[in-house]
Amino acid sequence: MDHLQGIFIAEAEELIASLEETLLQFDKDRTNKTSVETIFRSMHTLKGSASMFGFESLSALTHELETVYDLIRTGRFAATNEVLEVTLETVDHVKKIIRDQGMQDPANRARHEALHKAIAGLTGEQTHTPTGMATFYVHCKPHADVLLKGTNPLYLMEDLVSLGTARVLPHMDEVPKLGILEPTLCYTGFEVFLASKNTLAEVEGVFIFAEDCCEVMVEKISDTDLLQVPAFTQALDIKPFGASPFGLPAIQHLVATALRADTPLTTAHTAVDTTAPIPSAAAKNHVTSIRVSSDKLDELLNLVSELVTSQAGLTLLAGRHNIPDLANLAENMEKISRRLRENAFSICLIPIDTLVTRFQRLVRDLSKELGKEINFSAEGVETELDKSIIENITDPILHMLRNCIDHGIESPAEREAKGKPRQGSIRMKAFHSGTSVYIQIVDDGKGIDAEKIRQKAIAKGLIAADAVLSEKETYDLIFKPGFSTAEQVTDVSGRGVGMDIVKRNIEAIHGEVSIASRVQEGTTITIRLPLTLSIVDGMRVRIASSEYILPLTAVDKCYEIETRKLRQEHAQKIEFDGALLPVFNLREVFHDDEPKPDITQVIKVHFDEFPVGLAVDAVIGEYQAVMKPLGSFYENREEFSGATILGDGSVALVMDIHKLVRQLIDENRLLHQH
Amino acid sequence: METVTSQSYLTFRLDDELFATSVADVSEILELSKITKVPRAPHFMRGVINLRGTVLPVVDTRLKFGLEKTPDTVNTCILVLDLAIDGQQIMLGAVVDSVQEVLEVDTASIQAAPSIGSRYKSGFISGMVKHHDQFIMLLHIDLVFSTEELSILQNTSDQESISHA
Repeated sequence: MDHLQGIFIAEAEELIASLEETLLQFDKDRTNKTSVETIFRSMHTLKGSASMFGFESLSALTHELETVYDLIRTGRFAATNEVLEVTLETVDHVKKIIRDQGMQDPANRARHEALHKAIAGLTGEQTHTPTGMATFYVHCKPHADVLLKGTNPLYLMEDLVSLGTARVLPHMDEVPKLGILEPTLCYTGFEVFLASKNTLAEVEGVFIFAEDCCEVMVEKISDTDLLQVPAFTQALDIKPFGASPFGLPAIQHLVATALRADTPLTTAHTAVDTTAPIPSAAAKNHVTSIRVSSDKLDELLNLVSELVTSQAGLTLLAGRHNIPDLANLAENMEKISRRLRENAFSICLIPIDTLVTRFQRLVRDLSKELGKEINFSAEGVETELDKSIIENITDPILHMLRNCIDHGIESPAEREAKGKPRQGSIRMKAFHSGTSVYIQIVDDGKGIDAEKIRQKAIAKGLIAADAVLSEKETYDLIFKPGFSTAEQVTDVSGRGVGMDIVKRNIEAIHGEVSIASRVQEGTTITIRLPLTLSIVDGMRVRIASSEYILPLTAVDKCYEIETRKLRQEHAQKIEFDGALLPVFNLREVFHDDEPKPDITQVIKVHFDEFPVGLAVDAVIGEYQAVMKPLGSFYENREEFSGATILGDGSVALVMDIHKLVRQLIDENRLLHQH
Repeated sequence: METVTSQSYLTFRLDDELFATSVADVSEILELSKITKVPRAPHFMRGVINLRGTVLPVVDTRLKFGLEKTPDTVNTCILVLDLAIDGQQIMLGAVVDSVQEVLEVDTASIQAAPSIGSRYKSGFISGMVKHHDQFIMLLHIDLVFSTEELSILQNTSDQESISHA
């Protein structure tokens, strides 16, 4: 059962995500019939599977909401802001109680009650014929000795009436003349017409303890609230007091004629049933997909990585032995394994689309809270990224969006005064370029004043008063620890997590972030991300007897220099292309006891826009490095982001150039001489 | 009648001393292959090797045990250990001078580790066993490799304080 509930939770979460997405669409375009249909259908599915897997509280809540949306889709109820607000709140709530089914958390329980009331409040005034309603016919004839058994039929009637609205017809036809009436016996029978949302079983449940002292018959006579049908109620009214009961056949006949007389209602109903647009659901079903656990995918990727490594070994072997058949085979293997690798990696790519709903939601909620009008749009949402990158990029983007809404976009009044449209805009653009994916967040707010940043950085001691900085360098100051442009700290973006954390999180997944801005025109934040974390396009180099991989993205240029011109120090400055380049001699830093080659290669890399040289023994070539973790024993060796296995089966370390250079600079304090 | 329980230990040699670890902790024994050095790591970390596609960290057990570095021989090999360290299952390789044998040790014959006169901190030794006139030290191997300390050797000051006590 736990396993099944797990499946339900996974499915429900997906359903809720798509529900939320549709709700946000519907929020923008309230006339969109398809959205309402989708919302209704999602809720219906959610309700159904929730009750099937024993999530009763969840099922009840969604049932109520479903009722509201049923009214909306049939045009009997307007989708007000209030409705959407309550719906979104409910969706949030459902997300929580799906993991807290018994509602152990008192906050959840309180919210649950509040939402029940709120939903009931939505429909309370306007609805007269809420569907989900049915009319039951209850005929209850207590045995004569019922009172002697301690049961009061009137209590049963009270219980019954509490289930909905009811019309109770007592039958006094068996009551004898006063002279022979035995006061301890019950002569009265009841016919009840109950309009209720409850099921037949629940209505029958009222009599569960009275079964042996009453003749009870409960029948559902209509799927609508017949008490709202004048033709029906009138027929009940004309029945004289004290007459004998109708009996079921008479009632069924009455129902049929009453409904025929009340044609407007019935046509409305049939019309709804036929116009429900099924095509959208059918179209969606065409995309066939299967659910696979991410563990299995990770395992697949590991195996593919191993295959790629073995294949590199095979190619090496084929090159060493001059056997044409072997060379052919190796070449074929190489082609197949490359395709397999590309295929396997593409399986793990998820479109950015999956994030957009969360961003939309944040923009919607936060702009309401801050009294701003913001239109959020997303472009290129089909751009795909590795699932682990998607997981890690969400929080940084949310944080930047918060900043954007809080500090970037002005209030509507302020915007009008500046001659801008009342509604601010935040656009998220995602696109591919080379081996990277770019995500840009563009707003049309007040922008960031570079001069203000400069002054602030000087005040905070981050830069010297006379420092000459490019525009980009100035904006990069925002990402320095201890820098925060917010003049007053709000609870929205000033909660102590600075942009430096954002930058660090993005760098942790080998990405980069930068800011460009024009005062009064807006700000653009650009995030560059690698396509995948598991393969690095690298340059293979040798230092002493070990091989290393340098990510190609950081490499700018290679120079050759005679080894004797290098001093035996960790750091020095050497002139290349007419400029002094700070060079770190990695052989000195890493190994000191190996014979040196005559020629040393100096690789120019970028470190925060300022070039640094790394001296290595030899450049071997390009290498597609399948990243492997170094494990907990080496977790302090941050200058290596991992290791990879070379074709001959040996291990090469993959350098994290940014962290390596930062460490070397810290060790040598070269920056001051710079 | 007394029930005799026994446990299997793998014995290995470092210099002249014999050590043993429970066979349950050892997943395989590898011949020494090329070890890639990780620069700027603690001296007892020999580096990493490729164990069928997984990068396995390798510890120089001699250095961890406070012995000096010696050139590798044909007998030098790597014990692949599968240890639970801080609740995490960790694989690591331990370079030892040579592997001896798998020994069935009668639990009753295990003697307490001496707290005085031993070169090693007593916490790392679970007991001692006499075999062919030589003492074998039974190791708490997970403690040996999870410790933050650079070697499991007794500090000389500690030793002095013990011998003075």
